[in-house]
Amino acid sequence: MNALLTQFVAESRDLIETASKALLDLEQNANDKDQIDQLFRAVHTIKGASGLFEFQPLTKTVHAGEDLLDTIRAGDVAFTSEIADVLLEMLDRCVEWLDQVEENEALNDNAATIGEALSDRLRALIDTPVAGAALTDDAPEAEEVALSWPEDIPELDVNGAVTLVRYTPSENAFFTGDDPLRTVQSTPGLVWSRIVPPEDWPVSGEIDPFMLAISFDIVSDAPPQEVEEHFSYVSDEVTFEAIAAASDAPALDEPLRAMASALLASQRELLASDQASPAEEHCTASAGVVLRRIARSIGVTLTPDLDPNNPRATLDAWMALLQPALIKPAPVAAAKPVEAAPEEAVDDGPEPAKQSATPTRANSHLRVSSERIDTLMNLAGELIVAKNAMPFLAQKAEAIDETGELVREIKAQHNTINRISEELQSAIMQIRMVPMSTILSRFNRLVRDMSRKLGKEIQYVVEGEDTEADKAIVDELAEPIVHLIRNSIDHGLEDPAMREACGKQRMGTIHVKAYQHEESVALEVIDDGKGIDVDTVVAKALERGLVDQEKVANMSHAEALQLIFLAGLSTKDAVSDLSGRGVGMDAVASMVRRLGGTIAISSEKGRGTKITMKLPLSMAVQRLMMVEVGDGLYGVPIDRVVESQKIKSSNIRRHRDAEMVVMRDRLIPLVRMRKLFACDSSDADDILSVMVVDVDGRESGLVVDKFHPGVDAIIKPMTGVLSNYPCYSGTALLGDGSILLALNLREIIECQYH
Amino acid sequence: MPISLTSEAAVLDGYIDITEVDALYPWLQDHPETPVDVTDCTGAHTAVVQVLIACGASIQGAADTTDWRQYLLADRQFYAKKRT
Repeated sequence: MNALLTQFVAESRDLIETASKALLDLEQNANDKDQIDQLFRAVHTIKGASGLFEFQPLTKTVHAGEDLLDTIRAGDVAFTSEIADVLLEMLDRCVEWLDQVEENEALNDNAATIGEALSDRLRALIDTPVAGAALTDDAPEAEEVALSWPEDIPELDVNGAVTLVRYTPSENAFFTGDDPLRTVQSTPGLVWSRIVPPEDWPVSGEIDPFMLAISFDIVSDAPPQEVEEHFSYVSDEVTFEAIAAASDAPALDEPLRAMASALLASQRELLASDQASPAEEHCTASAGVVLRRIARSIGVTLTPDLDPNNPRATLDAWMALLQPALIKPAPVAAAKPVEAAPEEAVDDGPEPAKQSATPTRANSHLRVSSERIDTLMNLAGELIVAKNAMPFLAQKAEAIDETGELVREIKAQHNTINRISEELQSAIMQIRMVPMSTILSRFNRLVRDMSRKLGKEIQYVVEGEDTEADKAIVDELAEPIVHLIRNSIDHGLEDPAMREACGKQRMGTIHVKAYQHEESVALEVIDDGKGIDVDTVVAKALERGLVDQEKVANMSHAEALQLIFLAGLSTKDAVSDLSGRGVGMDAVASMVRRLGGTIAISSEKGRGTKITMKLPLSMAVQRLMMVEVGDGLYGVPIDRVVESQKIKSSNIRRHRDAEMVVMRDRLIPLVRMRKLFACDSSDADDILSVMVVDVDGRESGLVVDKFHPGVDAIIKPMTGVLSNYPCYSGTALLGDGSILLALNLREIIECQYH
Repeated sequence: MPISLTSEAAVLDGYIDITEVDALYPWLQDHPETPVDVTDCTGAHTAVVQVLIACGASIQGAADTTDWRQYLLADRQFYAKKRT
């Protein structure tokens, strides 16, 4: 995909996002002029940009939308939810089309039909007769007439609209007694014609002189009906195009005039530069094309005709002809086009203002593909790993360096590189940070559509949308949030009538709250619906055999509530098409855990439900505590480590198989890592190394052989055979080249109990 | 005789019909460089024009004209500059 198209797709997506948001806000307050303007501007810009490419259905549809918005802006048509529906559909369609463009650089075949139907619906909404007539009928037709002069047809000295006929007679025309040339020459109002030879002429000896191979281009200034009538016998062999004569070109406004001047100057520069002869040929040819176009748009006739022997001289003459025409009417504006524009723009409409603002904005922001940032991030990660090799190097040096000077040097360098790599990493992290609003604002639409479908009245409140997190995390969060919001709307919030009966407001609220919590980003989805009935959850879990009676009996309210995260549990009896496919909460939980996050639920019957997710700010480099078990090194994410202690084995309390220890008045179950990894049980040590970790709010003590210092590492997911071992979350490369296995604590604790 | 084919030149006179292609085409193949004079040619069938263009005949007597004979020249276009 070329750069321009890539940019178009990216910008259009942003604009669609803006437009959707404005539309939804407008639904709340139909008279908000700012939102109407913003919506109009976004749609207008998409339309304008799409015109650069051959995406007719897209341009046409968005044009219809723009016309509709224009009448709304003018106050001729009142904004209603029906209008919002169709406009939202238009935006959805645009997103779909942009996907197609991104994939194939073209729209699917059905786009034209879909676009046509959608434009008709949009235009049907412009029902005020006066405004409607002007916008629906005249505008598109005017556009058809104003087809620009085709590039392959030379400039002709004609007045008014003319018809271009492309005539490709059948190759058997001679056998039916036709003489196409005669038809061409007798064309009414014939201004110009030419013979177009076939692309692949056979070599001289192989021509069949009685098979027609040539075709014709004809320009006529007779009325179109007359021309069409002339060719009526060969109607399937001709196409007609209305093309605008040069004198019909609209008067230039100031910015365009300035642009034309700049173009002219650039052509002069191009011609002035000394080029080798093949390049020179191209330069003059392209300059010729540009000059012809400028002339056409400002209505100047170029004389003399291009002299093929001395094109330079002709081009110079043309430029001399164009220059006065460009500066004569508005010398001041042409000289200072940019400064002049913004002042007019305020009254004139939003678009020129945007144009003049673009250059400054383009300077301060850079659009970079996320892949490049990812590469940079990976490299920074590698650097951090490579840096970790230096302490090992220092150790080696210690063995051979008696004075210790070398060791000191290495350590000093290590500190410097350490500092730089950490700064580098945090700088890249800053680039990758995006506000949560990029996904949260999207759900406005989801809530709106679902509430209409289910006949519920719902208010969507977002708090802390400026909270930033790594783009990867934010993107990954979108899916769990969709599930949660759907669940809340489908299962949580009651019908308006039922809410009133319970003494609540008719309108339910979905509150999404984002905030930063230590080194993680927290997201809460809160609804004020009927809450989760724990008994139903327990009954369902028992019914599906997900849990046994004995276990349930010992469960607290909060623990029972966690059952909702078990796979295959859905509490809504009828499976709706919105949610409740039985993949609800467990899918959310596993998604969050895969990202290294935690999820918690609290709910009060009749009052509502609150789900809290916490995710790391970034997924890249993690700090791990290293522990030794058997002869292997293992990593534990440092944010899970509560404390590391040495305890006397005599302090261990036993209850049946379970071992536990009291630390700071807390009873902490112990997990013997050597036993779990089936290592030889170590000699009954008197002193045990215990690392207390926190998993989902529950503390456990891992009994390990030895503690090691912490390390920064990039954890790569397990692949191949190793991915079957769920007790590891991934591997990391250490500075000395050895491999560190990162522990999946949840699995390890589960293993201990099952 | 509207068409005269010799080893020095082909001379087209008056209106040249499609039937003349039978003689003209082999001649054009045999005499690729020999001039074709159209000074007194008032008109020709499409097939005649096509074969002249396809064989790249070297046309004489068309340069000063402003009618259909312009088709026979290199850029093959005809422009009615002064129409009343």
